[in-house]
Amino acid sequence: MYKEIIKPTLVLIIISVLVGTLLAVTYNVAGIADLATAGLSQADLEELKPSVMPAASSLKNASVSVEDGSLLGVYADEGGSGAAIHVVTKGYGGDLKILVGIDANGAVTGAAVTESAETPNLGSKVSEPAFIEQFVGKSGALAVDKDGGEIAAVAGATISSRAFTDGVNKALEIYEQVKGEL
Amino acid sequence: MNYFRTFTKGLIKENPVLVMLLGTCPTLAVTTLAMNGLGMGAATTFVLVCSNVVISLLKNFIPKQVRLPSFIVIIAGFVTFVSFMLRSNFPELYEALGVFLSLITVNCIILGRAEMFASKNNVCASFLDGLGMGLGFTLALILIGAIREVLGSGTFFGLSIGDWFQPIGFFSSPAGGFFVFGCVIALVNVLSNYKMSSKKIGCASCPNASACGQAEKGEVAE
Repeated sequence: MYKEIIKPTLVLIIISVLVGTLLAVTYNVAGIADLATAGLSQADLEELKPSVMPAASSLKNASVSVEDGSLLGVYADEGGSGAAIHVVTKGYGGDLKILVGIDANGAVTGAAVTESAETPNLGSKVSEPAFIEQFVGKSGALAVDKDGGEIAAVAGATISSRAFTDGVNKALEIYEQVKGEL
Repeated sequence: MNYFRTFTKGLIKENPVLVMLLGTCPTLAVTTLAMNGLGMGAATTFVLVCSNVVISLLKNFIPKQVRLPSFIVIIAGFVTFVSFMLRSNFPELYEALGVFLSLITVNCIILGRAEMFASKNNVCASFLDGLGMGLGFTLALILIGAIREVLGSGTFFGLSIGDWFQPIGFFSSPAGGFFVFGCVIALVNVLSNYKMSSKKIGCASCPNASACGQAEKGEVAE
């Protein structure tokens, strides 16, 4: 009885509890909980600023009243030159999250991909400067060349290019709604 | 027990990916870039070495009725530890490996070594076995990753090999992964002079026969 049933059960319980405890400690020491909930950290913003809003002095998280499923966060420039809008759109491989910098006149100053599940070396090329530079200075409703717009899609990655363009449009739209609050 | 042989057998002769054909899923999935292959290989090697050592230490403590659940709990613990570390220190690699990082838990290389080797051998041999198998896995992943990266995106570890080369997108796709995988297996078989016909098909001709201990009892297929 002891050898057949109780001892194996006890051993498995001891191992599981021990492993669980050690992982709980590691979880807290490594600060995983903060990583999971936080939006873009100040360090992330500093890193993204040159490609998103080179003219901005400092980006700070701003709370806005607009409710939108694709809006992840608004980061206003303290110098008043505009704001960076963090949006999520549906890409080819999953969520595509982009941070779009928009100046006070409502024109794009730059953009960066913050999270993507696009096909490596194909759709993932939408995060490269060659593609993103096309958006700088643009405003209004944008579209890729295949849809009669002015944005040249990445070859072989129309869906990813379209998703990125949709994200920029969404950011521009949201900016128009929130600019009064900033 | 020859420790040197315990270590080196995982590199080519009993290479887990290219000879035993274990862990094929992560091999095909993450090897679009050589760097991802290296990251996946390093993470797996760490888990393999740690779990081999711990399981070898506990081999007399764990009753055989619950050995598989116990092994899996220990392995899953180390995998979760690795994913915490990668997530807080190497977020880009964490993103690139994605779900395949957590799936190291069910990578049959690790449970296979725990069951076939670590639970029957001392700590030192288990450590070397884990290290050798892990390095064999890593080398295979880097090799496949490098071939696919050079042909599929024209870069090597992220460095461009020049504009003269037009990348062949096929090699970045899953189908290209299978193709390269097959070619590398064929190459390794040539290099190691593996002859299918020289032995009867059955337990005795399995690359795991030396560690299995049941090979003599196995039946020979007709």
